[in-house]
Amino acid sequence: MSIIQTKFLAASLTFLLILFNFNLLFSDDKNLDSNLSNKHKTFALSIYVSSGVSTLLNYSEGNKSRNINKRNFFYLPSLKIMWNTNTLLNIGIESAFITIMKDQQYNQNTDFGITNFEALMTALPISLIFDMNIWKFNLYAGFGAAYIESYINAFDDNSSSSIIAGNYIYGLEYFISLTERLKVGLEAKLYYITSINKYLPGACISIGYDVFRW
Amino acid sequence: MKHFIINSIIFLLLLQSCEIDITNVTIPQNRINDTLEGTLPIKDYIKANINGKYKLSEGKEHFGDVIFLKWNGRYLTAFCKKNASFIVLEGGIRDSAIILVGYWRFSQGSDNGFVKLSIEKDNGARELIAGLKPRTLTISGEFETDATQKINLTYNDTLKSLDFLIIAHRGGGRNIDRHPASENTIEMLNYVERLGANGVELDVRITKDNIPVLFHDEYLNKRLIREDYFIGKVSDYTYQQLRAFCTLKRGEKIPALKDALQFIIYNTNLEFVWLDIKETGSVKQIAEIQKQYSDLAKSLGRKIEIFLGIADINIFNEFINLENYRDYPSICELDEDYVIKANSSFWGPRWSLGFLRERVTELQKLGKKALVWTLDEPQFIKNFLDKSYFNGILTNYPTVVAYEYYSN
Repeated sequence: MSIIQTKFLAASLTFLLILFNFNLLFSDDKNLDSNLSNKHKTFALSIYVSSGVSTLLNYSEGNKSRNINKRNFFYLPSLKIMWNTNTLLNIGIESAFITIMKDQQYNQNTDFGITNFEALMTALPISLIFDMNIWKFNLYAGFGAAYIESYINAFDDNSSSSIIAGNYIYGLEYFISLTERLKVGLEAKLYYITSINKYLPGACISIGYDVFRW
Repeated sequence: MKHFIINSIIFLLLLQSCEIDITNVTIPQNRINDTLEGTLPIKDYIKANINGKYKLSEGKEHFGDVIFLKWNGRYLTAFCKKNASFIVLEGGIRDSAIILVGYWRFSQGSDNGFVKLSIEKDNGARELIAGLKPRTLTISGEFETDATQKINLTYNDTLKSLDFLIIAHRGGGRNIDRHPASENTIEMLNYVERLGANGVELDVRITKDNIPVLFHDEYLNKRLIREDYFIGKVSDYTYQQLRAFCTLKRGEKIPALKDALQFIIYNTNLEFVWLDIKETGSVKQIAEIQKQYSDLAKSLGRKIEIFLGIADINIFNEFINLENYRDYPSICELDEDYVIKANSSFWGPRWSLGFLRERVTELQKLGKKALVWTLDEPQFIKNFLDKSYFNGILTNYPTVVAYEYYSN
């Protein structure tokens, strides 16, 4: 799928979900059916801490041509702060530390002689997310910005650089309540980072805690 | 409030979606080679007699009523009016007929197709091969769109000599215009004369280890490169790292300025190079290379001029701090006072300032010349050629400027 098609699709999906959520946010509770209005009787501010793994789906042509495209799984920690409204809609902020790629190639033949090539690319996305309860699952989507840092070591020279890119996030969660405030669950999510056109699916175990309730 | 938030989100989402992916035009080189297999090369005296203005009796719906044919080395380019199209052909002689084969394409968009033409011996080939100017010269054949269509051209007039600068932007052509090579590469420099250009603008940036290289954007990005790890500025990486591990969109390497100038001098007939200095702090290194390769060209008797581009006040201040700065040939994009202070050979105002007839004339009286940039719209190109006194045009569409110049 081309970059423009991907972005269009990502933007469209996010927008549809957000639009649907906004209709719920700004709707009068009385207009919602009884199931919806009973679902969240209180407001809450919750913190979710997740820990899991992520991987990169799509390497670029350049990396493939040099065989830097092996599947790696990296540790994925993430943090989410959610405002749980008394409607179906929850709004929050999500952040994570993503290792996008990491490579080490030894004795690379180049025009300038033999060298090792080491590289690491990481991202720190911060996303505004919109979360919706569907049956027992939470489906969320969001968008934001990601700080991306890339590090290369070759020819005995370290080079690092960084950019800010746009990002989209989609996720599906399932939680079990352990106490009134504490819950634990599983989460599957997909990050899409725009400027570098990368898809990063991840799977996590999450713990959620309602810090404030009113 | 609700609408404001929703509209803000729509805006942000659209902003994130603004990136274009390009589909390349594929040149049917295998078919060209197969068709020309076993043919004899076309001598220069034959080529000189083929150059000219031609009228179309067939194919005019696609290319227009009139086209201009001009050889450059082994390639014959047809500059057309309609759809800003052009045809690039290679040729050979077989059985007393001249075979011309290649491809057509629109300057904008990805439409293209195979073209096979010939000059039969009774349509002028016999005289051409004998070194004579034929009384009638007809080129006929077919070109492919969705279907195969006929094309027929008849020689109408000579081609006027090119005493105007047609300068191709971004090292010969932008990626977005679907050329067979990436912008600012040796491969694009090898191609650019087929587009009718006699000059080229090169975008110059500096690597971490102070090597001037050709690269347009401030950041390495997916529009221009293939690799994942290279995301920062050109100046974040060493030249060796870029050359060894970073490839451009069509698979080329980022060239050093020195390599590009050497290629231009030895392998092309380009007469004009505009070095567009993209960042401050690099004028001295670039000026040294400019001098080195200008001297080389002079020693070879090669007719070419290499100019430093002064695009803003910071570059200007750095330029006038060079020792003997008045001796470095330059193009100044700032106002005339700066042109005179820098002793620039050329003034380069942007096209949107208009024809600037009086201001250009005043500078020309002082022995200076003027170029306008970056002019792409066919009607504006025609207007500037008709109504202004500029000595050249910097453009992304040299084929359009060439057509308008030859028809002017």
